[in-house]
Amino acid sequence: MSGLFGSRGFTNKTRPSAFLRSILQNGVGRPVKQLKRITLKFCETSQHSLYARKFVEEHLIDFASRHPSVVIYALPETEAFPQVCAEYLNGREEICELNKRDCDDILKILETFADRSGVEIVRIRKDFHTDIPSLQGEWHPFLNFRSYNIVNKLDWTPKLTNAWDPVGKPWEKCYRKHELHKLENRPVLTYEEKAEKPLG
Amino acid sequence: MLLTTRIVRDCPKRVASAIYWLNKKSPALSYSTNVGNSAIRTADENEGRPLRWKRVWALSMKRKKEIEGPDPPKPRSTLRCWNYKAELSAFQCRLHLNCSEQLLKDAFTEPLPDQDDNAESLSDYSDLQDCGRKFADEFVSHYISTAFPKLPSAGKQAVKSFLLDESHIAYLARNLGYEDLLQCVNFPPSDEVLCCSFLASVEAINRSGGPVAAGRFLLDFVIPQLVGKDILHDIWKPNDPMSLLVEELKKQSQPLPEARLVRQSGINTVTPVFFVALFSGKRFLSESGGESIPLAETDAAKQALKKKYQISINSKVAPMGHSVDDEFLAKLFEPLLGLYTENVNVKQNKNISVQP
Repeated sequence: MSGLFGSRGFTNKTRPSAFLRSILQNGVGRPVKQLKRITLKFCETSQHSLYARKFVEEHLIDFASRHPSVVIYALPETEAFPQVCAEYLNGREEICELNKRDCDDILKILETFADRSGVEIVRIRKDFHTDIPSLQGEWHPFLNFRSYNIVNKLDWTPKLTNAWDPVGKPWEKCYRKHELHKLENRPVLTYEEKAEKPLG
Repeated sequence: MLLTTRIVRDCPKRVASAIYWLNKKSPALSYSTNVGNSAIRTADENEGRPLRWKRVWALSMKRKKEIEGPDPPKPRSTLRCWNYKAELSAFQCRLHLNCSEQLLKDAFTEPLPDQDDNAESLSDYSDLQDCGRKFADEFVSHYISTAFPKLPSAGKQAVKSFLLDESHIAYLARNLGYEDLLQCVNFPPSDEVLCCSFLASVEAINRSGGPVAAGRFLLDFVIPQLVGKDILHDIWKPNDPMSLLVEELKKQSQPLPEARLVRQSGINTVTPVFFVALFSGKRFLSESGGESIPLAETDAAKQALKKKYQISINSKVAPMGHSVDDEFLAKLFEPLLGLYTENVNVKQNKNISVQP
């Protein structure tokens, strides 16, 4: 089985998957049935097409009258295995083998084809889709802090600093506000003195 | 006959397949029920797994296909089975149309390239598409001015050119089944041809069912392209939203917008965030964030414009589909019909200026 992205994989990650979507915003305006035509191929005489022939004789016209927007072609071909090919508005074709299926199964298959859009069946990542995920606005960290400081106008001038200038008081940020007095008379130690001192 | 059945049942597959071919070629031998057995299949049915004695040939054919690439696309009418009349009636049923067959057939016929103006014997979409284009233009502009009354003319023009863009309409036509029914000179049909065909079909509906039917057709297929799209960010994309905002405020004689840096975070990192707020005098207009201060300011201007033109997420959605109520329909179709319909209850609103 090959999907849109190549051959079969063994895990959900490697098998093809898609997000939920509809074709052309289908439900917004008038509803358009996505199934264009159905081609029913079967053999006139063989055993394997027995149920297909029975379906064509008894149930096909009923099906056709229920779905007038679908064109149905019945193709009898000698020694052809029974198969139904459904073509959709987005250009895709789906073929289903009707060998060893009875009339009820065939009817179910056709009804399923009629209800589907032509999108390939792959694992759907989310059951929902929305173009507007948030109505009141998404949360961001500044949302609930309502106090501004807007006295200063927007400053467009680029602030240039010399990279080689010493950054004054480099350790200020590492101290709590009430412990800043410890920075005032910091002893300058040599490497050996630091090694002897206790840690912390 | 009995002999053949026993051989077929008991002997290995390749012999059985040989006997199957023998039986197929000589109709004098009558078939047994086992010959149609699904266990015995021809190479055509064994997709990807040819018969062993055909393997080399099958592999070389596969390689040839790979080298030459896929076949050029063929129009659907040349493949398998095709009944034009049935397809046309199914098309009408699918799109809930009630159109005369001859007009639709004309809409689906592309005019030949080298045709004299005198010899107009072949009916094609050339005059239909002219009228259809005008009708679509008028209807869509009227819809936009009714649905988005506060948008300026530049915005309305941008939305209209988005809705009636050639490639967008061609995409619509392709997904509504126009490509199969189209009788075109070169297959596959270009975007231009599909667009012309679509607009010609609009005119065909207009001539058969009246302007209301054609208007509803446009309302149901062309206008829902707006769904999920933001007018300012996706469709219009003005180059300088700040100047537009300045113009708007000047028109309403309000103080010009001033930007203020409100929040900032991670300035020295690779992912900084700056929040800029716009104020008109002391009145708050809008606030937005961005990766740099100019970007944030531009975005804030866009948010302010969205509020002004009432095209933000929170404002009323452009009516389409189920949300189209009688009042809006009356506003929309009044210039087409020239009178209010009896069945519709319309509030007499004297402030509406309806432009045909």
